[in-house]
Amino acid sequence: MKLSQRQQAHLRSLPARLSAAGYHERELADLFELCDLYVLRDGIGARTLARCQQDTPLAHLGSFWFLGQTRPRALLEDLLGAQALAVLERLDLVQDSPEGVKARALLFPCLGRYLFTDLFAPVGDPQYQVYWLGSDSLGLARCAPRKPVGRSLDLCTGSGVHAVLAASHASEAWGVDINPRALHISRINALMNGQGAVCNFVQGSLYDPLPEGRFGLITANPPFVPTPRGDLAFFRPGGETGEAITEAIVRGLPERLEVGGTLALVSQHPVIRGSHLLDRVESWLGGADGWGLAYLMMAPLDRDEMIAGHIDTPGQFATQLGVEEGAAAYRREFETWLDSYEANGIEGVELGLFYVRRLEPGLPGWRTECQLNLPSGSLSSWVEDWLDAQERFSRPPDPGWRPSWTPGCQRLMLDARNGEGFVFRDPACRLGDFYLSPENAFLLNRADGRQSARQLAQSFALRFERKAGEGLTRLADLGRQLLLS
Amino acid sequence: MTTLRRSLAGLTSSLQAAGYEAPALRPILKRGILDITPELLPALVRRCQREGSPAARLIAFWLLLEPAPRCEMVDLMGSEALETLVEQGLVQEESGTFRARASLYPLLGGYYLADPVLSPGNTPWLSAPEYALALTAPRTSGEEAVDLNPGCGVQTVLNAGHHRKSWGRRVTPLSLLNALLNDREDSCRFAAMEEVIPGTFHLITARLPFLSEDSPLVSELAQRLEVGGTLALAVRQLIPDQPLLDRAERWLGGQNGWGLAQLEHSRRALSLKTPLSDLGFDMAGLQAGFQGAAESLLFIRRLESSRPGWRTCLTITPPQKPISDLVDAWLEAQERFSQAPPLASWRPRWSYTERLFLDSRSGLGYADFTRGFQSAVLDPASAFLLNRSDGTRSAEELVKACAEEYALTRSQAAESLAELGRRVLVV
Repeated sequence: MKLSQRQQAHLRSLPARLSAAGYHERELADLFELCDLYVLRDGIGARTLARCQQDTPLAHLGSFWFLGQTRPRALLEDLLGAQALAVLERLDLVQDSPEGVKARALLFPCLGRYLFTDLFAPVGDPQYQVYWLGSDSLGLARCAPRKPVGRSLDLCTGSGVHAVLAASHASEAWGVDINPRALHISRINALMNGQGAVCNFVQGSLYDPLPEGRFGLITANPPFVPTPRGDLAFFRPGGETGEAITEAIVRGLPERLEVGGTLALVSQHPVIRGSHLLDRVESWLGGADGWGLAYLMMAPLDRDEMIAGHIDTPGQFATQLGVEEGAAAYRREFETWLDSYEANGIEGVELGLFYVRRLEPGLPGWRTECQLNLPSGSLSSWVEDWLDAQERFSRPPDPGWRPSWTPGCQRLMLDARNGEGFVFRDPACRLGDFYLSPENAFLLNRADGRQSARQLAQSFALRFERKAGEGLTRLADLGRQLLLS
Repeated sequence: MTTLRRSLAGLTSSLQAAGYEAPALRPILKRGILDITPELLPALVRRCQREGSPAARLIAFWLLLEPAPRCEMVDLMGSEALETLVEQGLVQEESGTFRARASLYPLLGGYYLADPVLSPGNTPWLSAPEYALALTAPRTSGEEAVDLNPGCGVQTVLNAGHHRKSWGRRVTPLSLLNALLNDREDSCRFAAMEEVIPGTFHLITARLPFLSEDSPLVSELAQRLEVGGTLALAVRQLIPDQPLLDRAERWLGGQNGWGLAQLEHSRRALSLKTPLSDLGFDMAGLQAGFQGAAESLLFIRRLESSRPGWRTCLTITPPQKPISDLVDAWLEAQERFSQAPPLASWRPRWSYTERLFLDSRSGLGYADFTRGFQSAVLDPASAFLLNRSDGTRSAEELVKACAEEYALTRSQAAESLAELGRRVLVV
């Protein structure tokens, strides 16, 4: 739907008004008493509902956009601007009713931007539902590299969230989706955030509709549900392994990712018996040379609960078919999914991001992985440091380097009886605390910026009766873990 | 009765031989006993089928209520036991297959029959409070115990393992069978709900609302609970409500002569989207303006009348394994270390401490427990004391060294050591 220049200006006025009302991620999560906004889909308590009836701009907007509550037109005109509200009505994002105005979309704040998505329960054809910002969307938004790049590309863009975010550090931000409704919403989101001139959204399958050329950043949150069913909404099915689209994205990288560029892809990755995710990525790339691969594992998910979450409940089956027949039908459907998972060796599912960095020709490939809880804010600079550290420490360190703790290494505890270490990470970086061997704990404990890597390696050799070279290797290992810099 | 006893004893042996025991559940089902839900039934059945072991087949039969061929069940449980189960209406036979009409739970080395967990609209008998009570109640030897929970008698049977006589509150066919099944029928006594159970007790187990503050037993607690005895109470409390320990003190009319300890093991928001079984509780709470609910265990220990009272509170993760001995040691430690310990004769050593980590730069300590309680963060002086508590030095020496090292008074250092005792890190 075409908007006039004036209407576009009214749409662009919304972020400032929302921000003035305190409509931000943290404030909304506090209003709803949730750890993060993605949890909203699971519902809120009645007490929270009562809190949202307070007469504050944030409570009005929060309950209007997220809880399906109507608000008087005059109030919304006051909060959002009368002309902006009229534009939203024209775009079918809000609807007038005798009780007041009602939202027909969700409106998420995300890292200083605002994004419309479809409601959790779709209002139109479910096939074309545009995905809300789930834990996967937020994980990618918060963990994508944000270094300035020339061109960025967001595949399976949905609401366009990752293209809109990339537009702040890319001179051109492209978004692709097969779903025409997603492109409609993406364009509205780009316009609303003042990125209409930087963002280009095109319809088609992955790289097909794009002009020639490579990208400095490629982001993707592809459909990933491993399923034997082909009739789920566009944003869900990833084929029987869940990786059909992921694989196609990775196979396109040699042609589409520039040297020094990075792919950041979030998914609920299948845990496949006898096969590691990064092994599969490596095989899709055709080998390890020239590629840096990193995996941030955010949360293991329960396979059985995931299946239950994607099929109708026993109650829904019972409503359609009666109690006994419904129970049998539910079981058959569940078993169809289980058969498919077993045939593909899928034992579990993990929420996580993987990164593929294209290295300078001739550089050896590297790979790494670590665990991370979903961060509540941007972790982009940490991710960049982490990827850079893999590259820097993929070779033995300079013996003259004077290692010291990074800000991410908050505290080293030593086991009073056997010398093993326990590292507390900076809580802000959301990395898990973990144990160190006595050898690595010894080195980390002495790395205070005063001694060179050579001196530390020699102390290590004396203490553990090993070769100094092993000490240097261990220091590099601590560097790759972002404990030393 | 003899035949019944013999066939149930045979059943117990067969189940044990098949490995049908509580620790076997999680590896097979990939979840705990409290997380079995009707939605996941197809997946759980499949997990049992794939596992295929005798334990997995028994889980499918007894907990998931899957039908099983007669020959398979005869092979696993014996024909005599199965005949008895059919006679008792606990198992139904239909054209060559058996199907359980009750659930049979393995717990703490025993077996407990109960209403089926997966019946439509049914509540698992082994609710979280009941399960927590089974795993935490301090069951030390005593003369008589009483369990005030109606139901299938699980606490009564567990209490009977440590008491000459163990009273249960309600006679049901299942509670009697459970006493027989676990070979505790001689020490178990079941009374009717309204019946006044006579005597004094070494252990009282209960959960709200089956013991409430207006229960006669509460007003008579000083007469009914032996000195050194414990009331273990599972409580689900609305928040904000009066703090549980304040409430308990009000019941008892003061703190003197009583030790009060609270273990809070879960907390959640009240919700409209809550499981059906909790809906009434949540709705009542929501209507009254409460924001959440906490699950706790309250332990009330009767002290010698001359002893000063004490109270303490800890937050733990919901227990998955039995920690009754740890809870008992914790309660004992509150009493033992409520005053300055005898320094000259005591040689402190690690108690439930598994590992001690020391911060290489600040001296702070981080003590891991062997199980049950969450890790404790210690100030440098406490970490210093714990690090040196190896049973070779007297408390006096430790206190002196600590006072010198950290510029503390002797009594401050002694108090730090006593606090380590109260946290069951040293004994």
